[in-house]
Amino acid sequence: MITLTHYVVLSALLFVFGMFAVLTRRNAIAILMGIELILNAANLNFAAFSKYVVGGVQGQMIAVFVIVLAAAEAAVALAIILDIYQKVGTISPDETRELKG
Amino acid sequence: MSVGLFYLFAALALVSSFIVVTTRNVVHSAFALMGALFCVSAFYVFLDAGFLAAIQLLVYVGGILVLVLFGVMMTSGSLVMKLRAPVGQLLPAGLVGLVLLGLLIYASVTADPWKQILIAEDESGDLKTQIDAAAAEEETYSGVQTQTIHPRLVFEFAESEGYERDILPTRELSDLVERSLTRLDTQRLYVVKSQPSPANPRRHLVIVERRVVSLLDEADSANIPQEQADLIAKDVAERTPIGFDEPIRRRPALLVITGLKGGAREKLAERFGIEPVSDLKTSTGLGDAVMMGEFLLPFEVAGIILLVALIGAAVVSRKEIEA
Repeated sequence: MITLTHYVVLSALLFVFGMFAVLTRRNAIAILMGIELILNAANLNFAAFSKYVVGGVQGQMIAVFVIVLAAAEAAVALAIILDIYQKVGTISPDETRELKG
Repeated sequence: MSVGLFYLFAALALVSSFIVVTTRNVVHSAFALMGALFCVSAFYVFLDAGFLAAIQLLVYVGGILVLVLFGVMMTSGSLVMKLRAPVGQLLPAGLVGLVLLGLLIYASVTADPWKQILIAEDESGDLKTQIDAAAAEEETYSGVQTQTIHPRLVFEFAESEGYERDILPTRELSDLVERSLTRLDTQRLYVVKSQPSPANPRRHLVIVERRVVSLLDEADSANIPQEQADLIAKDVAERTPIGFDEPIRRRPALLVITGLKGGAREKLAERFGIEPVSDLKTSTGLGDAVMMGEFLLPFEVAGIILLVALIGAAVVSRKEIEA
């Protein structure tokens, strides 16, 4: 039988993978993918707790919000990344240190 | 859902997210991310969140991933870039990741606060069987609120009401079951259902608002007499569930009626002046009805946030071209 703990452990693993990507990647887009993994891990927790603890669809509703937030964040972040690429010529977060523009 | 399917998708999700983190090619990374997102949407299906699974596929796999791929194509001189960090950065990151993973798993497996509320054991096993049967029925009739009503919730409620463990007389026990079921209910979803009692098929178990209201003797398995439907409707309208200030007089947002056949269902729906939502077999259908009924406003707000972000993104990239 699948319990809540299964889902929580799974999402912990996904979260750590995402965090590892954010910490080690040297490409802004790869970092963005890590953030998507982290958000998915959180969403999985919301849906799992919604089913096993709370009942109803409140948790799912929060998850929908998070998905929308992720979409908005991806759109804005990619626009910024493209901008930086055209200005600086690289999207490595280590090499783009100037904030003055 | 079979356990094997869960582990299959879990393995797929973990392998593909591992590839996302480790591969040197950004495009491979993006495609592995697609696999991981797909697996997560499969988990949503397992969790009776069909609507969420659809949104996940639509927005993530259809939208965000394509966006990311465009980003990759527009920013990369060569696809295989210096993705990996130097060892001096990998080691601390791996260490932090492992420690965090250990902490998270330790917390969720051992501390497990949402299970610690099991404070009493039902020694005769009678109550547990009853509640399990009721919970099993709840799950089969549809997935509205698919949460299983665990005996522990009843016991937790009993404890919070000041009862001693093991000293719960039968009548008070059944009362407690009712009250804890009510407490779990959402405020505006009323469920009326009628099913043959597991113990005696000639008796009908009528559950209103997830509470066992009465056992109707000699109810026809295919039909419930009009008078009894009237009684049920009256009961729904006049009861004051615990935790609510007044009887349910206003129009329910959604009235789910299963098990009642013939004129009884229409009559019950008419009593509340709403269209009967009948014959909802799948959890997705009902979940969507709830999502669209109760949460339409938040959904619209979410849509507006998305729209504003998209316009902002367009402005940011247009500015560069004009400059």
